[in-house]
Amino acid sequence: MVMSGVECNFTWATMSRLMKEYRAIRAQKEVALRPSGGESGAGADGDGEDSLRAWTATLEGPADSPYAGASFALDLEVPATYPLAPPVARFRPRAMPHVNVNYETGEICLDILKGEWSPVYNLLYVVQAVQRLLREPNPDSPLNLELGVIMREGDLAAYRGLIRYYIQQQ
Amino acid sequence: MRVTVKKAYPVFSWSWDTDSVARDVYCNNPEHNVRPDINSETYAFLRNYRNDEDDVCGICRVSYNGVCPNCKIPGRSCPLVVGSCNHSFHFHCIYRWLDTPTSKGLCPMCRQEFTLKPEVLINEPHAQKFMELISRNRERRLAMEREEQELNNELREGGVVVDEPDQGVPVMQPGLGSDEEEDEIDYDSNDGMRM
Repeated sequence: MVMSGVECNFTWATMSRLMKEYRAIRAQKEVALRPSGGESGAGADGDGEDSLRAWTATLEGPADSPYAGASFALDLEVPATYPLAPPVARFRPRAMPHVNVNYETGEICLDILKGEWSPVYNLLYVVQAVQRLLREPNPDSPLNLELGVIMREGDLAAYRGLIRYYIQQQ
Repeated sequence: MRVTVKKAYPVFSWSWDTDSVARDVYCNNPEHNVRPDINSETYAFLRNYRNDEDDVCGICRVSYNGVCPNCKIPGRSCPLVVGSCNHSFHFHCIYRWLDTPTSKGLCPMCRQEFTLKPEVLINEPHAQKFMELISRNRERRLAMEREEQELNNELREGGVVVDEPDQGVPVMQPGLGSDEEEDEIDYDSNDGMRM
């Protein structure tokens, strides 16, 4: 992997931490998280130096959830001030029916991605936290009002049914 | 047999003496205010344990004895500090973190307010700088809370509708609320509230 840090907008601090994370992520098998541009080092826009800016994870729906059997792409974007600022994590637009995800945009409402971020977290941790969110939706801060209302009313059958319906639409 | 030494390579190693683990152990000693004997075996063991190569700064993930990513030479120019919560970081890393509004002045590991552990030798050169940073943070937080309170009060009194999802930056709806009310709200000082 070629790293031409000179033209990169990342500071050396961000770049060196991302390189460490990249090595650790590649060494593990549990989470499918890769730079969006692939292993070649070429970024989505063809610039080598930006190759660690955008990442994509593939989340498998947990077996004991309405998402079982489906898989979802989670995009991570690393800001220039990482790890002092959290990565921006979002699902693809109109792909994730979830109480804490804006269905139209894919935006995720998760405390650690906002005010509760800490620089000791890393990309892998973020992906795992989102994975946990699939199993444990939080009806108190809904971004999908439709699902939020159904969930708060406790109509589990309708909740599961609606999610399955959305997933099958794709 | 005769041995002729042609070349010698002196090798030395060093590590930060964070002091804290040893102190915690010695706290169980009735004479815990006595400085631990740095030549004791226990102390040597603890020091090695503490400065294991796996022991890295939680922010930059580089060994405590290495440098933060902005420095080249380890040691005095890129020092280590220990918090009252016993979490250690490179001085530069924790300082940069605490200087962001996201940090709310909290330790990245345990989310307690980060202050330097008192009476630890390696903290001493930085005490002043941290005191300044911490009091600046406290003021900033208080100012933010005060402002939020004032804004809420004004909104309640004036009945102004604010479209404010979770960004923390209020957006005034055009055409609502009178001019005087808008003037009283100081938008600029909301700068630090994003993220």
